[in-house]
Amino acid sequence: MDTARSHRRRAALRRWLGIGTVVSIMAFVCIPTVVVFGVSVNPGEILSFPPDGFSLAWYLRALTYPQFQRAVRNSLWVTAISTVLAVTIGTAAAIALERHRPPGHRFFAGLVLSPLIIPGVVLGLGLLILAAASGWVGSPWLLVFAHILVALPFVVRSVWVSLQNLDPMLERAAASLGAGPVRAFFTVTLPLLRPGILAGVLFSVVVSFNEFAASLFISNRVTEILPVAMFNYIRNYTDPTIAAVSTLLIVATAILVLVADRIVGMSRILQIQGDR
Amino acid sequence: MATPTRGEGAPDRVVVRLKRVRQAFGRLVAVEDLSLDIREGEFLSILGPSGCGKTTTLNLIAGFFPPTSGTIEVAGEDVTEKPAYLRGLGMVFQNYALFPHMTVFDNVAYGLRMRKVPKPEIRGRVREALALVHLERYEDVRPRQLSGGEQQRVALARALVYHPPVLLLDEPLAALDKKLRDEMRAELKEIQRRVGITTVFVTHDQQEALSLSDRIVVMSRGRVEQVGDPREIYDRPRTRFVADFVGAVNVFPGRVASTEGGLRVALDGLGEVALAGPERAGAFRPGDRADLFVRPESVRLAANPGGAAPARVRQITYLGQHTEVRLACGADGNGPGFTLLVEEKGQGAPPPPGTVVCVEIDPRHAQVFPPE
Repeated sequence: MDTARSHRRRAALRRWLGIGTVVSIMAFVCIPTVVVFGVSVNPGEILSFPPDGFSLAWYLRALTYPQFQRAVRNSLWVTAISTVLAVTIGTAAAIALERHRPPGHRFFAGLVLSPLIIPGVVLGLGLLILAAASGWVGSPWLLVFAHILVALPFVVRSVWVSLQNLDPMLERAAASLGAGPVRAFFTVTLPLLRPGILAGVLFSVVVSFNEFAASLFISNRVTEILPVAMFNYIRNYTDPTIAAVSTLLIVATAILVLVADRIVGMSRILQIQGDR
Repeated sequence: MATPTRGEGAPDRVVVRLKRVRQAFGRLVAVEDLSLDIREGEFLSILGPSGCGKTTTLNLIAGFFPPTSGTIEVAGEDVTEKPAYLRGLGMVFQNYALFPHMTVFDNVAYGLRMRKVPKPEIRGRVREALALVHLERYEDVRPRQLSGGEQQRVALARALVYHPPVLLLDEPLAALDKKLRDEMRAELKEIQRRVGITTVFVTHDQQEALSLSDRIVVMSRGRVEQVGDPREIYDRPRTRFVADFVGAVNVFPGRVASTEGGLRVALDGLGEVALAGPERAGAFRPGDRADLFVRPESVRLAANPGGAAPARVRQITYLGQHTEVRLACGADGNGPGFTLLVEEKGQGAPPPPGTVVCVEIDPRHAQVFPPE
């Protein structure tokens, strides 16, 4: 009797500890977002929290501010182009490194993944010096190049996970059935890598759209992307417009991730399946 | 070209011919000097332990990589340098290798689509192939939803649907459990007979090879040990390896007593055994050490002790159909160990462990090899 009760009490304690931990982590993660949202609806002209009213005026200003409009257009272009290129290059690199194991493939894998550990500041500074030496300063392609480098590790990783789940015998089966290497690739390999490639696209879009540190060095007033434009805005003004933009950015990213999850199932993409 | 004839005069057309094929992966030689003719319509098994080169041989016929040296012909054409997708052979893989993103129908139709078969014809031929393996109602199902045996059948239908000249099977039954394996074995044989397709079957399971094949190629360490029909392989193994690998066998060490008109071997602790026929002597000379290889079913408990050799029962194992009796030579039970089988429904209860019994060796299917 007694041991059963203490057993039950301990189970309940464990349960509440678990719930408490989850709630604190969620609060910890959400606090900045909540604060930014609170500030963005503040009717006053200063960044203050908690808000002393409710107003959507700053959202209107954010959406109509010309420099933000230009920056969003820049962001969309840079993200789109760098995502297409990063996913193409990253997929090819993952297949080459995993399947064909060229000499020094470990070194190349390390190289491809290195932007994960190289600070964006270093990348941006390096590219800026390179651009200055070669007369490319101010070119939007410099941004595309930087974003490809930053997104590449994410693409390679997620395609690589899909490759782990791909039975190499399937390509042999396709060959035995009369499919040449190109047809086998497009009818068997590529469709089976689809989850990893889509995850790569998603990561690439999110990383590129939010990239700041490297982009700050290599963009100017004309080419700057949204995070850089936000930074420049906050250096000059301290009204809640910036909070409104931030909220919009967070909402857009969240919608993107949710939609992607609906379509392809993120949880399925990011695990290595046990059975083949 | 003169076609050699045999039996009732049926032409033995060679469908696949391997000539002095060698395959090395770096310093590892997987297949060494392999020459083999595979005849039209036959069921040929390549049998051997893992790492003997049997799967490499199959992959070479399939064309997944070219051999290091030697030539491969299919239907009289040299295909040595032709990649797999141009050879047009059918293959069933050990883990089936069905395309998980396609339905059963699309899996089976894949080979036909690669051959640009018109759409209406594809439908009919896929149905026909699925009917052959009794899976008509599974067209729209994904492979993952099927059992192992069903996946196996889909793989078979996929490989047969475009009527390849040769069907290659890479351990297709290995992944199934025992009961299903026996069923699939019978069905495989039945389908092969009905379609009449030349089949190359790779296996490490000697029972599968013996029961399915017209001919068996036994391989070891990249070399062919023996080629022959199942009876030849089982009853007249030509090397120690074949005798040991195919079926259970007892090895009795001894010494050659005489080579006059046959071979007489004095076994250590078991008396003399005479193998009739002058060809049995081989390269042996009187006094040479020799090992006698005898199947368990060729060793009997003697009814009357006179003339038979004594042995002590060590262990008995009930196996259902018969009982396996493990013995050791000599009345004291210190000699080499061996095994015999007692029919459950025949001679009554087998003797309990510790009993001294007398055994007789039937020399008709015994083989003698020099010691290792």
